[in-house]
Amino acid sequence: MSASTVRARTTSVDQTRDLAAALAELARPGDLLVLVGDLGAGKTAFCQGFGRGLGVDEQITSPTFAIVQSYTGRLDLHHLDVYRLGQLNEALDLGLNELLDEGGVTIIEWGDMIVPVLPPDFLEVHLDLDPDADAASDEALNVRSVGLVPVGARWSARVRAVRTALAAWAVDEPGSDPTC
Amino acid sequence: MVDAPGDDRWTNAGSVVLGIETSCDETAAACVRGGGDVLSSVVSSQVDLHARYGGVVPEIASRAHNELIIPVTARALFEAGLDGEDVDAVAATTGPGLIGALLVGVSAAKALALAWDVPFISVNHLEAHLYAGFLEEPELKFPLVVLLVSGGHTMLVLMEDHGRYRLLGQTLDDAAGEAFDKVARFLGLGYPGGPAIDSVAMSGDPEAIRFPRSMMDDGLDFSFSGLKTSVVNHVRNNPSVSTEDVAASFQAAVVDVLVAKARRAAQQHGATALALGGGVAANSLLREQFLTACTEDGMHAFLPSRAMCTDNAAMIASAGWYRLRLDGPTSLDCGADPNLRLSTLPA
Repeated sequence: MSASTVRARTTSVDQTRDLAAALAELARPGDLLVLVGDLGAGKTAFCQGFGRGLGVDEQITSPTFAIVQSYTGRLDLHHLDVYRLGQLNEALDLGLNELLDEGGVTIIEWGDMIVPVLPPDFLEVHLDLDPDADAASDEALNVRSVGLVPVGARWSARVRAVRTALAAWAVDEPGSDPTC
Repeated sequence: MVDAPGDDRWTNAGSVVLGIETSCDETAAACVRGGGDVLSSVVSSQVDLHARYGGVVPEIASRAHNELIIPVTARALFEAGLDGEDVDAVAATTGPGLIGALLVGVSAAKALALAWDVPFISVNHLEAHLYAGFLEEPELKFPLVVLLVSGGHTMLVLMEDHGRYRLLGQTLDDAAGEAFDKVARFLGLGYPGGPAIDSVAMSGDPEAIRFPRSMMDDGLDFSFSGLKTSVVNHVRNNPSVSTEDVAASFQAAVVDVLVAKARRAAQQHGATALALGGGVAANSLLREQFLTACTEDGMHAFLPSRAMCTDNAAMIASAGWYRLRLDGPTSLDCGADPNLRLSTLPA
């Protein structure tokens, strides 16, 4: 991850939701987020929090079955799960550009699988189980490290705002300058 | 044509509806007379096509539906001993489901309705699952609580009458069937996950691992995402754990919650009967515990056959017959809606 990566840490599913809701405050029409993380890392929980931040009232559930689920909020939210797509060209059939042009925010779970067909601007959100989590502690199993990597100018320009919005969950990075 | 709702011109005891279902990985067509008499029901499953991908692949599904829709429909007419001119209306699932898959069935149904000059009926796949029980048990009485559990849905619905539903509870994250699929894939048990876990669990100890029963005492909604995460954590931290025990313990956790909530819903809403629907209704532990609970509560239990639990077109034709009676024909302008919700009364 590059120097502009924002690192955070959450200790519960609710915190992951709160972090996502705070991030959603910065969302603009046409934004794209790509979620990367293993089964059980909290991708759908992240989307639930993000939807709450966008003012979506409806319950956000896993989109695995329908591939795409759309919700109405302050900005509309399009929630995709591309895990089941067989080939890259199927991603083209999702009508991604149309979704982005409609002015809502699009979040793609397992989006790292279809990077070649994504537009050049997006925020990559990595959710990882704590590698040091020890079986003896239930709390440790709920810890997630969150890495936000801006790809393209659209999100790079907002890195400082992202850092500020997520300050409550920030992880100190050795050698990093907290003012930039 | 008379388009007034409630017109029974097309829906008398002798009228035949051809139902078409292509919302996911089954291409199905069926002929049902009078809303309940199944003359034929043909289902062509694509499970083998999708197995190596660990789930339904949308593009493969659409292409397979395209190839199968005409032979499957022709077969349903042939088995019913009918010609096109004997069909009084054509019903198709318009959602929820995969958009490319839905469009194949909707287009075919509209074309046939237009060619035969009979009504087209849009059917909600979830409403159709509620009707599956009536096809095998016409004596089912309202009010009825249905526990609908599949790969895409987990909900408790109160049926007060034909077309009158209240949504009592639903999943807040993953569907129960989805949890089965994801856990099966994680354990390397293959696809579809439900039958794979069901069969492996037979030789495991359901009490070996105490997985969480999420929201057990918390209303009628469900949550299965945390359970999935617990399974992943447990296996990562105990690499030598027996897969059979994990499968059995996971299945027990899902079933405990489903049965407890269905039971509570029926009691709270004065239901006279409880019915199961959806693909997960084929799970053997769920069937066993559901039946035990109903017996204990003096509740009429209805367990549809495996063929009726899973996606089929007889339930589409049946729901279509009642929908036609309530609302009249659907406009041919009607499209498919992958996120279609069950239209419910306020809870």
